[in-house]
Amino acid sequence: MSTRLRSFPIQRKLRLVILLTCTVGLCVASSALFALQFYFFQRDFKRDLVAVGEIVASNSTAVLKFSDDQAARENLASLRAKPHITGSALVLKDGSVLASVGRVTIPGAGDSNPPLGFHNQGDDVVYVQPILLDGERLGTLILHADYSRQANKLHRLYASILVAVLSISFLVAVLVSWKLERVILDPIQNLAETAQRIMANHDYSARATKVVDDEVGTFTDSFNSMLDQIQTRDTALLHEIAERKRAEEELQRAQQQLIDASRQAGMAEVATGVLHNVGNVLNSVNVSATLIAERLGQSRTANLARAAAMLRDKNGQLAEFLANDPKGQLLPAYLADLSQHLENERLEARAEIDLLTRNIEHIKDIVAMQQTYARVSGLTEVLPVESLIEDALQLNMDSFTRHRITVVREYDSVPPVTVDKHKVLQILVNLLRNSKNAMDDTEAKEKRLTLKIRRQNNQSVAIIVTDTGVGIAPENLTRIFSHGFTTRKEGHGFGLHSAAVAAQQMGGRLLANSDGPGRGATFTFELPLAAPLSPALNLPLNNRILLVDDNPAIHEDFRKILLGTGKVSTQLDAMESVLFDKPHIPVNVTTFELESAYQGKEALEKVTKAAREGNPYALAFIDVRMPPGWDGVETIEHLWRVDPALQVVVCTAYSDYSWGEDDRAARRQRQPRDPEKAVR
Amino acid sequence: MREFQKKAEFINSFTRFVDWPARKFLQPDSPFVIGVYGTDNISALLQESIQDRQIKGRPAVIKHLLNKEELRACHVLFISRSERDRLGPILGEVRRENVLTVGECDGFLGKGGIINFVNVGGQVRFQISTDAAVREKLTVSSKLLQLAVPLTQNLSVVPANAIKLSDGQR
Repeated sequence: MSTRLRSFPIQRKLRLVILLTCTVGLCVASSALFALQFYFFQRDFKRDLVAVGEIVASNSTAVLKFSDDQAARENLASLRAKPHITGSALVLKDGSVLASVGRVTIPGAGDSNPPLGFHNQGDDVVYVQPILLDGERLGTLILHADYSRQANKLHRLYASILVAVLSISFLVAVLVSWKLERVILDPIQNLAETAQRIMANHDYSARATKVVDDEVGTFTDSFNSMLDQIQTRDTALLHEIAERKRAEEELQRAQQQLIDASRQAGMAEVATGVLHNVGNVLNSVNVSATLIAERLGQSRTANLARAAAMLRDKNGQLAEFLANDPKGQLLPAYLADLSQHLENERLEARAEIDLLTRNIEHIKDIVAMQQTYARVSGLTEVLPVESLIEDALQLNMDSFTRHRITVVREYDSVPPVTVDKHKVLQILVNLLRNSKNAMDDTEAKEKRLTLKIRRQNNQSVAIIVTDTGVGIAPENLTRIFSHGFTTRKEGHGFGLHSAAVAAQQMGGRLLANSDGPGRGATFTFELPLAAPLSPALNLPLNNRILLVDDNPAIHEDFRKILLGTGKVSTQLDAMESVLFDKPHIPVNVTTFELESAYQGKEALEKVTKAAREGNPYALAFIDVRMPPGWDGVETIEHLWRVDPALQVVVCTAYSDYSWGEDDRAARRQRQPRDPEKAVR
Repeated sequence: MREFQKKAEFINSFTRFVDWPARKFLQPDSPFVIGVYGTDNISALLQESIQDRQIKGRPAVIKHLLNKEELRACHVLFISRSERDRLGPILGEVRRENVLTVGECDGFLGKGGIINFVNVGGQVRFQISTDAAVREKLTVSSKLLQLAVPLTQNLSVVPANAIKLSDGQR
């Protein structure tokens, strides 16, 4: 297609196509007809000559037989009726001409048998017909026909007919196409005009009218649905921009707060100074600890035990042993010296421990001071939970309406909470947005968001957000709050993470639950009723510890450390009170309940059972390497799925796992673990 | 060309343009008989004209007849001018016998003959009585009729000897 033709408007192209097609078709048809006519003319011309010749020949048998030249002439004269026959002759078999009419060439006199049939002679066609009577050749009829003049006449006639037909057809085609092209052009022009209008006015609410049901109709539909999409996207974009702007403002505010906070915290130099101080004190702590350890290592308490054993052995003859036996005679003096020595030892250790305690107090003070500095003094207010949720909803309502999300509210009446409003809103907005995204990605017909407020216990209320979105795969449940974890394409994995961190900072927590992919998800945001000043003070004491390690010796060590001393000392105290008439002052010692598991699966069973019985473990020590079963990280994953509140200490003697390097472990580090807090 | 040679040729030609009823031929191989009655100036010429060719698919026989009884067996009967005064009985003899009678006298057709030679402008021509042909159940081709001199034409002005004369001039 030439460039010029390509730039023609469709109308002209269409007209061109129609007219070209018409013309070509007509030309072909006319040419075929013309050729056919010409062929027929030629054939009929000859047939006519033959027929005329046969009639004349047949009528001329008697004429020839009787050599009647007058009758012969009459016979030939009848051919005048055929204008194209210009000459004729009847020739006797001896070659003499009986009669001739018009211009006719007679073969030479000697040639008694001129060639029969057709032959051309100049512009004439000559037809030679024998005249036979009962098989006897009486003579010859020669006909001269003016073929070319006839043919030319016919050609001229046909040419003028062709021209006339072509021009009339062309005119009719133009007229018809003028009318019919509207059928095709109108919908296209309608579309084009709509598109132009949209481009000119940027008005995406315009729609093309669907006039026909053909491809143009389909195109119109597609065009319109494209416009729908553009419009929807446009609106969404506008909302998105508004939301972004809001978020930006929020961010700016947050940033301002952060700047204020860091200024309050005394910047990095303060922290460095604090760490330096702590480091110095730690040095003394280390020295004291080492010293105590050495003292105890060299302690003669073991010898006291042997002396005691000696006395016990000689139970019956103790007097005789003390009096006569050289060892016995030495024993009282030894015991006196030893007790003196042990007393000294105890005093020394005591002094050292006092120093140690003082140092630790010092560290605590330093840290406490730092914490006081660092605490971000967010404004806390007493607010009803409903209003917090409604505020958060308000921020998302636009996008909910747009995505046709039904919001169901199931609020229990709960006391107001004392919270930092911005933090709560940050968390709630994150949760709502997360739910919206989850429902965006689903094909579910009903998009329903259920918001519940429930009283948990005296300490906390829970805000439960349930959606009908894509849900969470079980393997993702434990990492849903990890920094950088996301299942969404546009997600950056920060929202839920920051929400979880914020919840924790407020003394609450964030839990995720899902029945699996495609079955929706539930997020529970637990919020303390009171301000989180001393959240654990009134908690019932939980001293249940689970030790998970494949090495039985380790279990023994833990048992010694956590259980052993407490028991022995109580027994000893009782005995001492009898021996020395010393009143027994019970020491308030924390006792632990230690249970053992040697494999990850076993640990899971125990944790499951404990959780079911409402008697969960506060803490689990977990070894990293436990062949052949799950390793430590895997075990923790399983345990947290059953008991998300379980605090965990990971123990390893190897350095081949480092939290920094092993991102697998890092991902699973859901929240900071604080064993001290756990066993409190 | 001699008058009788022409007439012999004409008689031979007449057989080509006239059809006889089938019953005129007794057997499939019955000959075609041309009889000459009266002064015979023509049978040799006829023989020459016909030669060995067949007429109507049959061998041609040329007879000079002397008895009136033999006349009805002919297919063509040429009655010589010598018999011009006895035409009535002769023609009566062959009436309804399917014989093509050919004469050369004035009034031959009036007396019941079928073809009569006449002289027109010094040339030998002939007249045909279609009534007589119909009576004798002979089918005469239109091509022959086309060449015949119309009966309405008055030929009596032409004397018989004039014919001879013109013939002689040729």
